[in-house]
Amino acid sequence: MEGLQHLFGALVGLAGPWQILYALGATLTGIVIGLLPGLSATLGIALMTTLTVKMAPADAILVLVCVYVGAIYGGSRTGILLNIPGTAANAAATLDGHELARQGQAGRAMGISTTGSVLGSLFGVLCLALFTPLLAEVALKFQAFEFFWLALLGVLMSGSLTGDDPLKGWLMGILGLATAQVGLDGIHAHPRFTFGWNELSGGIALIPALVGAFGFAEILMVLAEPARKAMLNALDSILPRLADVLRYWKTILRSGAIGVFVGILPGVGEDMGAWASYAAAKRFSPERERFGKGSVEGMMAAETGDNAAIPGAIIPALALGVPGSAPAAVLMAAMIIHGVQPGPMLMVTQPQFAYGVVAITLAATLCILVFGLVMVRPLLWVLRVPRAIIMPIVFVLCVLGAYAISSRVFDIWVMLAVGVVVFVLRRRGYPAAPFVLGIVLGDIVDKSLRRGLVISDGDPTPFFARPIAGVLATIVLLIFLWQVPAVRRLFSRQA
Amino acid sequence: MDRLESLSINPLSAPGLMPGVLGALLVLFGGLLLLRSRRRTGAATAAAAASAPRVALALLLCLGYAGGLLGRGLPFWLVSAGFLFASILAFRLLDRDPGGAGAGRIAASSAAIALAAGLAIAHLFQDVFLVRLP
Repeated sequence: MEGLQHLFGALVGLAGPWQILYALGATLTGIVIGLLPGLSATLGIALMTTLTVKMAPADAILVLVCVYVGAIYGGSRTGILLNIPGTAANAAATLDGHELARQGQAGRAMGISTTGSVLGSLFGVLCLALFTPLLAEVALKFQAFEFFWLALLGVLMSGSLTGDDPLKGWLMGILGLATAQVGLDGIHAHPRFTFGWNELSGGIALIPALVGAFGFAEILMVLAEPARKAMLNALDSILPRLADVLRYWKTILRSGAIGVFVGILPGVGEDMGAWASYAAAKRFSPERERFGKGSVEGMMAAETGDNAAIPGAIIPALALGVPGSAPAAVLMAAMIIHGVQPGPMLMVTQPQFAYGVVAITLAATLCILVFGLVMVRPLLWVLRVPRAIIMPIVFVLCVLGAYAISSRVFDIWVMLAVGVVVFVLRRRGYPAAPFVLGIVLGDIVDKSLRRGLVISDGDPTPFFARPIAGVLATIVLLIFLWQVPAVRRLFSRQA
Repeated sequence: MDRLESLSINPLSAPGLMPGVLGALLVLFGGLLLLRSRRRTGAATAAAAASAPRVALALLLCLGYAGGLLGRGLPFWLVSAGFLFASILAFRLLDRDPGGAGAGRIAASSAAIALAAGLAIAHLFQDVFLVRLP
């Protein structure tokens, strides 16, 4: 009952003219960011964090969540028309979306994208409202032992699932964790890896590092390839069809549930939400032979799954302080910048904030419905602008985005250095998402390990013997063992 | 600086513990990667080699602008407009279709876009978001 009151209060708070304007403007910005190949939801949130730093916290979070939802939704347009997913989350939808476009049904594909995104997001919002308080209540029992494993699990799962090679993903995660160790340590304020350099005492600032990893590195990736032409002519009707919803309602529900579940898993993210939903839809579909050849059901599943994963990824960020995806990690960092400390105590100290995020995600969902219905054709104009024009302008924004929070030229150098390193590593198949999770979670992993050891007086047993810590430790161990060929053979033989 | 040891801290909370663990893991996984790479033959793909000049150009422009020119006393809008003009022109010429617009026309439109974008971004950050520009 108290939760409903908070939710109602938050919805009323969003009904002001400025809030409506912020929500519409931010969602539109997010859609444009998603539309442009190379610009991800993570970069969008990181850049907007710097621009919203002087806004009221509620308005800033409204802008950031709307950019997040808009970017994941907008990326499917590029996939449909260019066969290049605008963001990684839209890769699964691109398989059938581009095939539909080639069959002259690009408008219908966009309608399915809107329907799937809105329904998936609504399903996720419902789960966000229901599960965040429940998870936070469970998490109140967590101590340093559980938080250590949970944060480590996030980094490792992200490493296992976001790239083609788990070993490279783990190395990127560890590199992120190591990057987070630079600066004064969180317990004794002892300088680590600062080499007497004052600028490094505060550590590697999160936003410049993220802008480098997801902005500068992406810009270099995009500029390295020659431009492609979009199929922008002759769109059929973009209006979502009720018949598609009624026919595939089971797929929508299943994909929503899978998307939310995958989103909740620490560090996994929207792209896996889409792929898992797509795979499940293909497995249960009577028309599975159409998947990959322009299947409406496949596209609906992928778009429902990736958008349901957004609220799913926000759930652990709010309740545990461990984000479910790279964009959620940046969103969580932005919350901290605005004085909100996500974690189990959030539902105790600021329950209205959690319900405020629920209301904001709902508002963002309504905004993508509005733009999906009325702005499809004008927005496609963005795809006509050559990348040779957009990318240098985005780089200038990245430079200012890195600089703006602390007004330090040093942060620009951090952005450049991280960008070049991540670019080189990405060209060799190392994914960037585990690096981001590592930077965000590095402090928790470090402090939880040391606090846990101090509490247990050096005895490592509680890290394995406490029930939840034991389960999390077992999962971490299984993630490693699963990559050993002999273990996999053993499991498959038993199956 | 005093060693933490002399401040009687609990050795289990030593700041070097986590960096040590991470270092060990980096060595372990790096070693596994090295072992695996000896079994697999890896060669730079033709696509990566073909894109090398574009990457070098992008790096030169971006690092020259953000690492070399910004913060040296020149007006932000001027440096940014100069960077934007050089980058937009260079990559539009590289991406130009055979029989497309002429180089002079591309240069003129690139200059207009660069100047407008440089001024607009400077105004937006300085006057709207109240950021002191580098």
